Amino acid sequence: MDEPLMKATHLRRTFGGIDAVADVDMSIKRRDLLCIIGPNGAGKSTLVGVLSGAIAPSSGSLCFAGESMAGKEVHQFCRRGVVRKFQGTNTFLSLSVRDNLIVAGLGVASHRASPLPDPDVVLQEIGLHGQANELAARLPHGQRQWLEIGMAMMCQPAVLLLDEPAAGLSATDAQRLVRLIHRLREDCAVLAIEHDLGFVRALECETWVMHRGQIVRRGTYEDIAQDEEIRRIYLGRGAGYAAH
Amino acid sequence: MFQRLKLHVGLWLSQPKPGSADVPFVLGSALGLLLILILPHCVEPYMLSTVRDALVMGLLALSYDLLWGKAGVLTLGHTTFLGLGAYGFAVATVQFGLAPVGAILIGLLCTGMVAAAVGYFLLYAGVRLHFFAIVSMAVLIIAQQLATSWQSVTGGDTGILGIPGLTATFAGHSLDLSSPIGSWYAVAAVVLAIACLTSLACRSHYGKVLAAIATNEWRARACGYHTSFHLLLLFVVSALLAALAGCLMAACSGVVAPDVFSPLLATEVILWVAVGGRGTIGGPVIAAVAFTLLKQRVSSYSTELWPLLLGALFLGCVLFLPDGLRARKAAINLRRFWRAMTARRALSGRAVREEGDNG
Repeated sequence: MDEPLMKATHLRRTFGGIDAVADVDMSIKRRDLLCIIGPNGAGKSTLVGVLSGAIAPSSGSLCFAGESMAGKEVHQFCRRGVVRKFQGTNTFLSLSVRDNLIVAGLGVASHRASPLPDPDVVLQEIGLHGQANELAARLPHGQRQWLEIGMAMMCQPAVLLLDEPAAGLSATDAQRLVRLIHRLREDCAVLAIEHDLGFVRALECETWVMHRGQIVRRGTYEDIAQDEEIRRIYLGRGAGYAAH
Repeated sequence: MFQRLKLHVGLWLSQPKPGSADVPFVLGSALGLLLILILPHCVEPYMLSTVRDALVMGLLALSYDLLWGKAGVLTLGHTTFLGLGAYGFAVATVQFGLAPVGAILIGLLCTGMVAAAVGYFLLYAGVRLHFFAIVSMAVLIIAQQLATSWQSVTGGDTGILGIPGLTATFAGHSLDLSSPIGSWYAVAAVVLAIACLTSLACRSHYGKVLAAIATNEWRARACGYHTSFHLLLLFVVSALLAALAGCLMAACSGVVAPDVFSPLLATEVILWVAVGGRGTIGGPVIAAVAFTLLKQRVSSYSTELWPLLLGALFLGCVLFLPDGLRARKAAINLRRFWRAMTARRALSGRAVREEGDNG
């Protein structure tokens, strides 16, 4: 039971000689909830890319449920339950909201020979039941974020990777998202990378700080927030971000 | 095993509830059925066979619409498969003396294998968009060269003559479909049945998956779809439908010549689908029939006029009908174009006036 669901050892990804992800060791257990924060260019998005199979690691190993994921493609990651929520605008714009959800769920459901999750339940949870027949292209940015989360939920994830879930959400929407993430955590592990520190604080979870491709601190949000060195790394020269 | 299969069929082919969006489909099929039954009583046999040959081109347009309209795969060499089907049928009947039904199967089998091989190496290697279109054109030219130079099998430039018409034998009863009326019913029924089946397939969840792959293939992959496989499947199905059109064409006209592999016809197919409306299934069929009949009428006045007219039509289509013949959208585009023209004139007029003021 305590065996890690996802385990990365010495994970490294270089782009033109620069380590975007440098020697990261990490493991995610069932029903973990953790947040990764860090300044721009710290390698957070690349890490999520490598964990979701979109970017092949340059070296190191990645295992999911005891199986090596080396050389596997992104659709194989998804079928095994490693599902990624993209940043904002990556939906099927020419389809309706409901069809977006159906398409998102069908691939995994047919591979596992399990019934399709009910799109209406997910529509209720993400609060888009009123716009079910609207084209995704017509949705404002904030609602497309919700649609993205709904699409990830339809994939029946075991590990859900959220790439900046709170970007473009209003304060009340962010609170709703915090509640939804805590609800999702009953079924799967959630890893979120986020800029919005208020959102991270509200999640009340394990928080890691990434800097220059490495995970430099692991602890609760309170510990991290107290740490002088982290303040220097993350907040940069001034404390202008602190109020944020 | 059976349970699993049932679940998969249920998942992929489940249909949404009938609604107002299905009215064109139902009306179109009913109208098509009516036309099939009425037309033989209205027109003379010669005209009927002309329309029948145009309808075979409609099937070709339908197969291309499935590929380009539904999955967004543009090719410039779709007639490769029309030609392969036609030659497969002709060689099987004339050289090997097979019955037409067996010959159709042979034609489809050959085309399917070629399409699967070509599609596998291109689509699985990630070749898409215009790269795919160019390579498909190269395949067409290779096929054309093969048809002219492999004389012992294909008859070279002359092609193959004396292909028998359609006949079918079932349990001792033989059905002769080679007369104008018989072949009309056979061809029209096949086209209508395939149009209905593809419409239903595209209406199902699977059609939505194809639309999703066409709009955002990368995202579809992240939803757990092996997109290359789905595109290959569609490519082969589309090639098989084109090959069926080829078989029917060979059986109806009785001859096959290397000009079935013509790049001009391959471009015309694109035009039919573009004008008829991408992804509407019925539209391209109607456009193909109309254009083929028009082509014959125009060519009887002058053979050089047709390519000119075709070019002008294509240009007009790109300018005014980027989504095909959908009346409302076309009107909106025309109005927008008109407004742009008048606005520019007003602007240039003002610019001249201002210059005059300054001077």
